[in-house]
Amino acid sequence: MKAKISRRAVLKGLGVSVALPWLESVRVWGNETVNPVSAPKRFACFFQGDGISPPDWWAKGQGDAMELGPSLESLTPHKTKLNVINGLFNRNAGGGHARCTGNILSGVALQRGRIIRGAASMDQLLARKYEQESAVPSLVLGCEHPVSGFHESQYSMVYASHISWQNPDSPVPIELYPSLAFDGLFGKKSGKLQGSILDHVLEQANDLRRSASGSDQVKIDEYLASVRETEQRVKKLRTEPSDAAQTQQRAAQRPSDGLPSNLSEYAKAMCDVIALAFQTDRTRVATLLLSRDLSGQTYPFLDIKDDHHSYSHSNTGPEYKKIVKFHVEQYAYLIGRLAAMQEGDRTVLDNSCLLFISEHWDAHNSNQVPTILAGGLGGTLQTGRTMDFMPAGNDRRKLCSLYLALLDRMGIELREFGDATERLAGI
Amino acid sequence: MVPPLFRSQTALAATCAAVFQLLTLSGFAADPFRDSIVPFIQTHCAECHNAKLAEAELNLARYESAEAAAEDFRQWEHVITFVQREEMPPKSAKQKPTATARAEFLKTLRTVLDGEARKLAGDPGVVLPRRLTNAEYDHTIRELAGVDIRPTLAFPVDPAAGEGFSNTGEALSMSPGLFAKLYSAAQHVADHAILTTTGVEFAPYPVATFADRTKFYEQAILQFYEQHKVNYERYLTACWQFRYRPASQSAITLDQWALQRQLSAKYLKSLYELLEGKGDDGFYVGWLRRGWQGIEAPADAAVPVLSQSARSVIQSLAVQIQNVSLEICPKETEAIVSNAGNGPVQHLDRRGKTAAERDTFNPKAIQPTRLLTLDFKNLDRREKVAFVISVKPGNAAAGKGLVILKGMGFSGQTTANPPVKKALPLRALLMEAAPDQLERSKFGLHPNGETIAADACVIAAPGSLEIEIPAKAFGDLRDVRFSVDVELDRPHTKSGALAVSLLEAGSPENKTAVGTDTAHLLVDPENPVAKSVEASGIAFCQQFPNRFYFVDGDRGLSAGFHLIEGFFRDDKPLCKHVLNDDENRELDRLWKELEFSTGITEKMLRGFVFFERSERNFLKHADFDPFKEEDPKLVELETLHRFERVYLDRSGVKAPIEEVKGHPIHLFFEQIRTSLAMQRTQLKQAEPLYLKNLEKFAHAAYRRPLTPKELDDLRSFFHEVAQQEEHGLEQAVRASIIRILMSPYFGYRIDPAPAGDTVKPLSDLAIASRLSYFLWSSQPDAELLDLAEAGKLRDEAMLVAQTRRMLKDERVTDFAAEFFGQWLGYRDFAQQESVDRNIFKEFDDPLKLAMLEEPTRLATHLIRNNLPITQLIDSDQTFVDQRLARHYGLPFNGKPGEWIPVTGLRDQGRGGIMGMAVFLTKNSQPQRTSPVKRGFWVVHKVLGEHIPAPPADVVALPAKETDTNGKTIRELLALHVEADKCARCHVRFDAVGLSMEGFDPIGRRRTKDLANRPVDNVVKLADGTEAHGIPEFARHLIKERRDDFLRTICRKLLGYSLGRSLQLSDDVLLEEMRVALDTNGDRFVPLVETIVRSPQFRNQRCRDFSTARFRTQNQRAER
Repeated sequence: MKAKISRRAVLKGLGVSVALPWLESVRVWGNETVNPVSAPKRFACFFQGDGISPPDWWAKGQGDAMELGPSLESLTPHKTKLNVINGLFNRNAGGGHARCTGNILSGVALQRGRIIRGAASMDQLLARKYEQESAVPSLVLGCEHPVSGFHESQYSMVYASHISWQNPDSPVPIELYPSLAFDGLFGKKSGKLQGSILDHVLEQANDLRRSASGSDQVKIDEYLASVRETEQRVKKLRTEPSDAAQTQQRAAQRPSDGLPSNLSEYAKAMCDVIALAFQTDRTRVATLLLSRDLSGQTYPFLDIKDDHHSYSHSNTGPEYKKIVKFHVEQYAYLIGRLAAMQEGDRTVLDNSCLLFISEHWDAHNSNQVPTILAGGLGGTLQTGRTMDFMPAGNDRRKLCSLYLALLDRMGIELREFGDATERLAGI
Repeated sequence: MVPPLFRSQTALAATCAAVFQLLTLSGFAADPFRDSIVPFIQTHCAECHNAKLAEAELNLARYESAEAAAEDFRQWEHVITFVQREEMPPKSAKQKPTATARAEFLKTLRTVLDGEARKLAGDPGVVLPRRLTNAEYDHTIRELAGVDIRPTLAFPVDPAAGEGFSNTGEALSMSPGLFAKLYSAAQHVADHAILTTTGVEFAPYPVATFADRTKFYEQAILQFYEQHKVNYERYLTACWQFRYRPASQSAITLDQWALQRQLSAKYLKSLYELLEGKGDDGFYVGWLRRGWQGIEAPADAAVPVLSQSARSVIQSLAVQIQNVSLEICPKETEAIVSNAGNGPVQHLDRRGKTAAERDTFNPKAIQPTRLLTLDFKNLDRREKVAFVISVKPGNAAAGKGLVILKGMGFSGQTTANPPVKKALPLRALLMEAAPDQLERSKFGLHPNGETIAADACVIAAPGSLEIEIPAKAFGDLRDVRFSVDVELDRPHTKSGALAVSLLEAGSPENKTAVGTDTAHLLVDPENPVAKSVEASGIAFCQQFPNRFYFVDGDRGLSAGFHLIEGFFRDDKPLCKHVLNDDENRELDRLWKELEFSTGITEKMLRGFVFFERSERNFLKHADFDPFKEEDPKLVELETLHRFERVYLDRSGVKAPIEEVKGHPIHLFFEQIRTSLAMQRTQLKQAEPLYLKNLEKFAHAAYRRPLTPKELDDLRSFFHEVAQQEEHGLEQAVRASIIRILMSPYFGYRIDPAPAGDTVKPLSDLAIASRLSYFLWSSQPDAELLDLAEAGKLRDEAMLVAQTRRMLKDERVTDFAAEFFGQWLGYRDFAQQESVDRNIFKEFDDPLKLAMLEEPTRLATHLIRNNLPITQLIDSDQTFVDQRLARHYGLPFNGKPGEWIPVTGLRDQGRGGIMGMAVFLTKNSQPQRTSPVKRGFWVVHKVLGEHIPAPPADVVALPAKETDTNGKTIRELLALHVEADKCARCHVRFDAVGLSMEGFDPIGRRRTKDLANRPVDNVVKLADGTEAHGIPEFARHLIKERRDDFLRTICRKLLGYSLGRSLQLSDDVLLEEMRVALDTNGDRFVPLVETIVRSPQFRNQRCRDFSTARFRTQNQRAER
């Protein structure tokens, strides 16, 4: 069966400890899952569809002296935590639509025609790696609904809407509801729904017990205890915060049901869910599709009339510049939130790696992909740098080489990944 | 060999007599346990087996009454065995009983125990509530969902208890961890649910994404098309066979003829009529009939065989039919036009027209000119390039006339690098290479003396132009194409039509009797004959459309640009000319479901809006501002009407709606509105059906009708979730499925105890579940459940009838895998691996799985056909698949993947389970065979002997057969027997294992062992004779140890069926089972019937069960 990961995801939601910040959970539950001396490392990917605006997308200098182009202005407070990387190459992307988004985190050549085939994405490799340690293997979120159809290049548009792939045949379904994503941290689709199911099961088991003989009761009690324990865990997460977790829980208010009405609120709500998930170590892996490839997002709050993709063809125009800036601001927002979360003598940001990426550079060309990293992965990744791999030549500027280097630091050492067999030099 | 147990020689009658004697005495002082057993124990056993020492964890001194002994009857069974074998008291004992005392003790003890068994006979015992085992869960889900999802794949292995089976309440525990796994399993099952217009179905894979849903029905449609594909050769052959069918079949109809050949009767009939029709219209149909008539008749009318030459004529005719139809049916429209400026509406319109016209005649095919081409490849390997242009009367009846050939010449690329394109006019080439041909062909001359171009020439019909040029004349051209414009010389062709062909000289097509004369018709459109050509073409195209259906090679049924996705249906000729009414209905249904389950219309509409705005910029005009891709209201009828109006206006169509009924834009919007409306209606009609499905699902899952309250709860839960925005209908269905599967009524088998202090019959429903989980390892089917609900299962005759039915059902396979798999210890073979694959390279997964399946196949066969179960041990038959047959060196006549029965096992040194590769492999070491493990398996598992665990300090045998220090395996094993503590047990099984030495560690037959010694598989039998290898030894077992084998199977089967450990009171039933085997030739079905009819199976203990009360009640009944 192919859906193993999502199934397990559910389980984890049921079986593991409550949402407390990572260090506290160590204190409360003993060090059965994490070693207190090394905080967990997290990875998140922000995706913007249809490329950036090259004239405004630049960075130079190192550390405090780093200068950032207009698109990246919002990242200024976090300069020392950044790696702005220029010139990476996703060889199998091939430009245009569809082909280059479905492989942005796997680097393989996608299959044409109606049979969907790519490869598991690097975030999902991490999800599998950490599924034992975290409640939910990964959060796969999106602010734009997936599309179907075929591009006339004969590539399915399924590729255009999904960056996280659980296996070569299936993308991970994207969660579009912030409220359900929140619930997902504590159950599967909906903790509320699950709570109601468990209530019902408990009620039936209690009825059964009343009519059972003594020896039967022993067995039923075993079942009852299992349901009760599960239910209590779910309930605990839904009731008022305890003293210990009060501050935390206030910040982690459940987003309201339904879809937020504009992208600005929408993106923030999703970032908050990711922040909460990382802080409480409910998950260590997240991807957020802010806009898909061939995006139809609209930005009335930026005074922009047409949709995202319409502007991407002339991406040096003022509208598209605004759009890119907006995307980076959302990224900066999450960086800011994680930077404010103390974790031992570091912050959650210091223990994470947040990747910002798009499938195109300018107008449908994927000869290079815009890449920014934020966070030091628990001190394993130097920050405050700008790097340019463009002069290194195609074989030495592979996006997948960056992934190999990041996977190494997160405990997955692979001989090859996507089109790369070597780590990105100098990272 | 060990003698059979004492008990096995005790006839039931003797037991009864003894019991009777005890009963009559029971009112008096005599108590055999107190009077003779206790003193014997005190004298001979208690010295070691007392409270203090309790040697072998056995304190025999504490038993004061027969009842107490009966509670621990297993201990006392062992006592009997050991005393009988004279292993106890040990040789070292101070005081040993005399032979008479020993015999007396055994007899009395047996009588006492049998008496105790009798007193509580029929006690149902404690049957704990038990959750479904992993296997039961998987099987039950398979029945419920109709697809084999196997959600427990990642579950931990169930532990076993009772008689060694996992289906007992003692073994099956529950924990929060497992509960969580069950929850995810339920979710996994629910993810397979797909909503159709008529209810909930389960797909064989999770259908969470749009792509999954599409796959489900697209696959079905593509498969349907494939099954109904029209293959001209097959149809023509069927027509030929029908035409020349032998006299004996003269009465058969074409309908039947088609049915026998799995062809469409509709199409076969119309084709046959067309072929056999009278008359020759001179054009397409005439040509076809001439070709048809030209196929040679069978040489022998009584045995009409299609000759090789006739077959090739049919093949060629089939190809030409296809070619002609491509030429005269309307031209294909490209499915996808890669042009963003191309409006989706026009595109759809154009494709719609193509789809509608596939079986029509293209009027443009009537033309006086045509370009003909012919390719010549690999000139370097040819001597010459030669072709013939022939002109024949278009109409067989009439016609002379002239055809003008113009622009004749070759073109091709040179072999130079880079290649250069070259054109060689024919005339110039001939002038150089074959001036005589130039002369003969009369270039530049018209027969009537009119002027034509110098490089043109004229052929008068009938006539031809033959050209032959040496290949070297082409220089460094490798492949060339010859082309010619042929034109009807209208003024000089009164008939108005001529047929031209261009063929390579000496090509096979040129020699066949058919085809060439209408390959390309030149027709004067002004001539009255054009009408006849058209009529012929219309008839032809209707029978032979350019396609019967269209499936895009890359995209299947999907169509659209970018992210506009729709499904484009293009199969009118198939529906019209091939499918019957039922088939049409089925295909329509599949399409309807595809559209419904994918919600494609709404998707397409939104994709359309996005594309038209973002890619084609058409919707960027402010008039379109109210129509947004993401607006939920976009799909409302009113919005769509307004949208259409604006769209028409902006497209320059200003006329009122009533006047644009046929306009593509209106048709497009109209179709979307109709589809959306249909989707809404379907959904509205389907919702109550989903609920009904869920109720039925719950009924089957709970294995009983739901109470009114349960039904209410289910309904309100469903509606509530369906109405929540973030969940909706689909989530409601899925959540309801999870809710049902998490219920203890599904996951557990519980029979709540009724009030009382003895026993009561189980309810009919409980019996149904017991029966089905016993015989199928799964839930009751509808028939069984219906009978139970009607209260008919308490009727013994009905119970037996159902048992027989169920034992014939193929689900018995699951029983066989579970019961025999656990009893004989092979069920987990797939998960375990003891083979060293570096040494045994041919041991691969297909072989492993085939090995695992073999015993289940044989056992299932014995059960379903009610054959003697002793054939498990001694049989010349087994079942193999291709892989296993190869492993066994047996011929295999089946298809790949198929399992077939084979015989001749004894000749291969095999026969029965002892010769099955799975047991030989499982009971080997990684690098050598293990006679010890193999023998132990036979004696312990198959014959049911109790053998204590070996002491901790045993010496291990070498790891390899080559590593034995010069000793033979038999000599090594002899070491066991020298040491007394080993000998006690090993003497009982080592020799048995030697009988299997003719097979290596992966069960391959061998004559030499791995150290190259000749195989020694001789077993000395108790009677002084010898058995060589498995077949002889198996026969010996069935003769001498039959009783042990049958007793073991009885005990195991009863324990499995009741889901609990056996108790002393079951002895009476065990004896009945034994008798059932004896009186029915060892057949399995009567054995099962005996269990099913027994009080143990049909009753349950009451809540306040008291052994004393039950004993009294039993004794009263006895009297």
